Amino acid sequence: MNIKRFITILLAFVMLVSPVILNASQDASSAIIAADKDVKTNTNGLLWLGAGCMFGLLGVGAAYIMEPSPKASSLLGKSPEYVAAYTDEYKLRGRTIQTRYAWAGTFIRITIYGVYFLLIATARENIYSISID
Amino acid sequence: MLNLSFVVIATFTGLFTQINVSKIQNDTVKGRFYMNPPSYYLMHVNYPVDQVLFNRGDTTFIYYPETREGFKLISNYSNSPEVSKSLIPVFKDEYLTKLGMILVKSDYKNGVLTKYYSPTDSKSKLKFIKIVYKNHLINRIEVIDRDNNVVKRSVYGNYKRVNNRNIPMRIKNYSRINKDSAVSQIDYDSVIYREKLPDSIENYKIPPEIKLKEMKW
Repeated sequence: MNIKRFITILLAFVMLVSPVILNASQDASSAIIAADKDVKTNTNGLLWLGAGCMFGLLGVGAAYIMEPSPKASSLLGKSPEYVAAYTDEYKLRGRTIQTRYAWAGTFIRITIYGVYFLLIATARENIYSISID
Repeated sequence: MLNLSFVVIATFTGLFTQINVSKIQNDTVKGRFYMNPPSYYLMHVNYPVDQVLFNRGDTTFIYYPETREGFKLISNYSNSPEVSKSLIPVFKDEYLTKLGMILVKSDYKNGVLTKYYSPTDSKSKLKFIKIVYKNHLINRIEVIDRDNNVVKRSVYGNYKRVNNRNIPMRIKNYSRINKDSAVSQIDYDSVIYREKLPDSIENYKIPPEIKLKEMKW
């Protein structure tokens, strides 16, 4: 009898709570999709590529530190679960995109410097070989 | 892109209904807005959630009176929602010059005046802001990029006189970025001009016992 009662109460509780949990997780997943899309649109990849090219590791550092902020319009009329999930995802994804571009810029910078020094070294070698001849 | 928030010269309150349609979600938001540009806006949303969204300088506060929770989003630039931003250019388009835009061309045909503004900054992704006037009222604003794509279009309609100003009661915003398009329609109602916002709104305070989740950018 007691077990029956316990199971009934448990079932009732699960039925009451599950829509709330389901709504919250739906909110969070739609927030993550929206944040991913918005951050891709709003993050200026070229700017961070330029920062990496010009400042190298400093540009990468700045990309880690400076987090992109979402637009207030995206949060208007949204639930607290949505706002929390959206802002967290926006921050995380935005930082990832920024740093990826900044690293790409840094590699371009390293390549340019590498080619530059290689050219100088080759030119010097040529000058030496000409003077020896 | 453009920060138009310091342009307006009046204080308005009213009701709004915003309908958003995009690939990801379709939703409707209803509530009341209070605008005191350039410094302040407050949106009290009553559908689909009870939410108060307002700013103090560059910080955005979001508060849920029913569930007694909130957020404090600190950013380094002014960040106002579409509902307050969309109305701004209607007041004085010549303020665009203060935003680093210069009038480069204007046409007048069959009662339709079209003005083109270009950014003074040559590195800008923006080519033109095109403003179309019909009967001396803004009918359409288009943001055109360097590849001649219209990335954003706002269409203004249902004008009403409010305190000797023509205010559009419907604004449709279309945006198209990276092949994705989104549409939002904002309908305003019961718009009132005020000399000053009520003190309870201008100095709106979240109860001190509410713990705000703080995010800094």
